[in-house]
Amino acid sequence: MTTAAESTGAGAKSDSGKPAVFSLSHVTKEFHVGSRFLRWGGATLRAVDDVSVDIVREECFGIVGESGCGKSTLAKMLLLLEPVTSGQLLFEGKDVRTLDRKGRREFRRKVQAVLQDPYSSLNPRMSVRDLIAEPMEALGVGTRKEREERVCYLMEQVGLNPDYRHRFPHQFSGGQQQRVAIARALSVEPEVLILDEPTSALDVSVRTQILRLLSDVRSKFSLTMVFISHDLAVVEQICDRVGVMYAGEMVETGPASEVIGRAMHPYTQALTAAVPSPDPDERPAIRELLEGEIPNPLNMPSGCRFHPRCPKAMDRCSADRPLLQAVQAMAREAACHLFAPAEGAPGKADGERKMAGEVL
Amino acid sequence: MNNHSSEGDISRTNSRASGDPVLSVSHLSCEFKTRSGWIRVVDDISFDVQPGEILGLVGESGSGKSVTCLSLMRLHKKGQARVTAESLKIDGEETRDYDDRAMRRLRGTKVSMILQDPMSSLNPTLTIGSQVNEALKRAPGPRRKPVDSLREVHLSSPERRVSQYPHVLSGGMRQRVCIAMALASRPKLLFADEPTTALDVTIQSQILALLKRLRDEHGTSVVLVTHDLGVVAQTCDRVAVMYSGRIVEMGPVRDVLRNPQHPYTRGLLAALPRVGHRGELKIMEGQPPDPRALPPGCRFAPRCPEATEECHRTDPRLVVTSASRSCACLKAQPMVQGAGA
Repeated sequence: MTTAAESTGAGAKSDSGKPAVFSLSHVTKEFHVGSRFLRWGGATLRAVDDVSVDIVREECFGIVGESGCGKSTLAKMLLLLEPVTSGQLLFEGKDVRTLDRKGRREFRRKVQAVLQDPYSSLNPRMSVRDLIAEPMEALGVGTRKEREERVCYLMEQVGLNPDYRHRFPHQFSGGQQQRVAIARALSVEPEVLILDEPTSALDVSVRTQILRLLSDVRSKFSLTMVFISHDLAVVEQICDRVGVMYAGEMVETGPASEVIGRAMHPYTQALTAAVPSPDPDERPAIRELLEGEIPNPLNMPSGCRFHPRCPKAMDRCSADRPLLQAVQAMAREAACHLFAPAEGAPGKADGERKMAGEVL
Repeated sequence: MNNHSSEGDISRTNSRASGDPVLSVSHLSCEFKTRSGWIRVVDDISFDVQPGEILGLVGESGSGKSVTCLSLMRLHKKGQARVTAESLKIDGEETRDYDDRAMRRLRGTKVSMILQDPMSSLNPTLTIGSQVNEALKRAPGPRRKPVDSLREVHLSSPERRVSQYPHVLSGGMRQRVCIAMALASRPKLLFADEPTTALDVTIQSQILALLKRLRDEHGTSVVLVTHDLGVVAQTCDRVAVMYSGRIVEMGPVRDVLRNPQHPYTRGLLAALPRVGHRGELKIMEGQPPDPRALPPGCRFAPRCPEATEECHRTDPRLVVTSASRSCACLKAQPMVQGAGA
């Protein structure tokens, strides 16, 4: 399977030629469920299955998918909060499993996270100043005075008044709390931000403010971002490249506007079509409803995991599991039998939006 | 009060002229008790819902959209909330002065409600079948079977589901069960408070399609509370946009979203990322006002890019701008003949 690995790895690289910050090859995460006694009995749940992707320096890579698709598990692995079951996870070319104490400490400084619910990720008993300074204290960055200065600087950067640094999280609105969480993540001058649904708990007008802030800090601090969200419109807005996950697998990757604007994989097409458009004239005559729900992770369908719901399923789909393969020059990949490998690359156009009009 | 008569006109002009409205709300306000006294979270709103109509109540958190529904269902905690209104007619019945007992009779028969989190509306210790059956007991006419109710909401393998417990079902399935229970007695009116917010998009479109189909089949009117303008655009007939406890704009969905009159509606639409439209989003600065410290003039004025001096002084009322639309903005042009009558 090395050939597949190489071709997949090559396809997932963006053509910018920048080095990969994270390089995943065949990353799999399994959880044991049921009987806990000596892991005997019970069942194995594969939350992330054979994901290979490169996340390139200074890009914003989006991971989209519905609940249970494994996107947050993937984020936890990128943050070294969950060990990889099999496969390889490289950070700046080094296998994360080989990192020693010092290496992990350095990793913690370089990779920071912002999570969905700011209120539950901020200690309610700590003032905003302490919250923002905490990562610096933990990693021994700067003197007390330098930290204080940096707290003020960061609060200004994220659009908060530094005079409020002695206040507590509950005195801020949801959007402001998320700004605190972002300032806290930025305090140790990280290179990578892992954002797990950072705008999902926010209102429309506040969400746009936070999205703008994220793209501002990204260019200002040359950050690499991994942006995890279920909201396709948000991902399209902020990300350069995107990976679509379904039932633990990466089913399509490519430039964000391409993948979401002109989806190739039938699942991505169904997903984009299901997002209700605020334009009432874009009301599809008959909305192509995706029947059924995501498969039970303990009892995955054979072949392509999407085939029981797929409007384009063929005989082959229930038997052969499609691999993520390059489909055209634009660094796009899809795991679907509808698309021949890059060499053949015939009718990519056929599979496009046309499908969105078809009715199940 | 002069205001009152003209506001009454608004609710009438805004509805489709098809018989008596199923819900007619006039001058509803709701106040909550806080440590710093009573604060008004819904402020003098009026609207009608026609038979078979889906009205969207859209707004950001704190705009009062859910509180409006809870006030109409009288589901506030005793002593914590104060609901006042000139008239609250549900299917022709004036419910303004109803006590708990009278409201209990109404709830589940004439009017039902579904909520955001279906797991917390279901009893985890009872089977799906027994919970649906409980709702069916209250329904008039011949008793139907839970299986049939579940089949009606397209729950997969309903025969098996009746003996299962809620935790076995997925979020989408649970919401279907809640809808089956809410519609058990064929209510005239259904309040749906963010019914798809906790669900994935593909499941959301299934549930919204189900609501529309049930509306078509049974003529149930729906008040759909949501923060998602996309859901409104794809599901509702009319929409009322709420901001800081008030309705700021109301009208047919197509007109309001294609040609918004209120700057807040325009701002919301411009701030909304859309699939297939990557580009600069217009940021709406600031946040909704604190209900304890409302600005003296228009409540949106501090955030409004078009605000004038006048806007910071004068609080605009909802005025009729055309046969079917109304808008609460000083710049909105009132319709000539309708306003004074």
